[in-house]
Amino acid sequence: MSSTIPPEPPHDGGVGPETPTAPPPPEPTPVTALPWETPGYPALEALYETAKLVLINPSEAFARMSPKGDLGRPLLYAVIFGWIGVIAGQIYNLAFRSMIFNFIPGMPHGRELALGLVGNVAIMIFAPVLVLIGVFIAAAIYHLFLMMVGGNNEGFVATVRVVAYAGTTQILQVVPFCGGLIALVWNIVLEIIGLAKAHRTTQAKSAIAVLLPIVLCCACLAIVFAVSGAAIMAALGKAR
Amino acid sequence: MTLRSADREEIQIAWMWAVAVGAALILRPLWLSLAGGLPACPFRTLTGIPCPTCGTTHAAIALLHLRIGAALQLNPLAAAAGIAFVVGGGLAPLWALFVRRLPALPRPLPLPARLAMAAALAANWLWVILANR
Repeated sequence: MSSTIPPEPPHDGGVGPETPTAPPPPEPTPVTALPWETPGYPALEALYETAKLVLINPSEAFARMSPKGDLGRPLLYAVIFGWIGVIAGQIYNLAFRSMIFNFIPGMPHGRELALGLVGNVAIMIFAPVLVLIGVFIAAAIYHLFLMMVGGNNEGFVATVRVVAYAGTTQILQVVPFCGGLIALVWNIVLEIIGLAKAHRTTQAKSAIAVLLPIVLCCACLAIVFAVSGAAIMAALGKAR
Repeated sequence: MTLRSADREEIQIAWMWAVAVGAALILRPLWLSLAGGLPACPFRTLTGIPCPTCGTTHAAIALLHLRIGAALQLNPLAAAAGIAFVVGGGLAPLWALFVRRLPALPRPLPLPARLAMAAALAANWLWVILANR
């Protein structure tokens, strides 16, 4: 005697049992812009919050930074921090150079010192222009090297924005003696992270784009950065 | 090569370029006064071999004195970049006002183009070593 198993009745007019469907992908969470670029944000608070975010949590900062958009705000930001850094750096330069000239016999005095003083003051006065020139040239060099390693997935505007916001580190020049070196090293870290985020590329490519010009500029400077390399790698590792 | 319309931000870059060049030329006395205080290349001092960017400062000073031949002799790539910076900045306002179109370059660049850039850097270094021994 044969027994037949009756077929399962169809569900809702279908031809067979329902197959489980995958849940829909989650809605992408909207990215909040940087405070400095959020309309209506109080200016000083926006400056402070953006600087804090860039210095302490650069991955989030550059993820929130749009690779496109108006350049006025980022450049103003770079000029503010760059000017503060330049003034601090030049004041320390003047103060400690005078000390050295007074303590070491045979060092140039008089006219040479006066020319140096004029140069220092001129740099402090023209700092905003120098910062703009510096941002433009640095971004051009980094973008060229990024193109060379195949990491440029966005335009030159993205690179300019990264360099402008990475200039937050210039505020560290207010720290005497070592502030300039800390600013330099942390600036490199920020640019590596920022270019990787903005151009949606790997940190390896952005690191080559940032470090190769330094190596080419002078191999001895590269030795300095090799010594600082442990600090750079540690910072990049934490920022992933 | 196809052309595309420039974004508003790219037009801002053009004006920024023009301002940078104008400021750089106005500050010519400052650059000339600071150039004398720059240290010699430590890599060259230690090894006797010029580093890839050796001669850039002297090339820049030569350009500021409009000695273009001397600048190209010292570091061709740096001199060419300096000339392109000035000429490009001078033309940028005209581009921003009347042209506003850019070549549609692929992103990222194709491998042959990238290799050509690396080869240009290497060739420039070789020139700097051979011409400035």
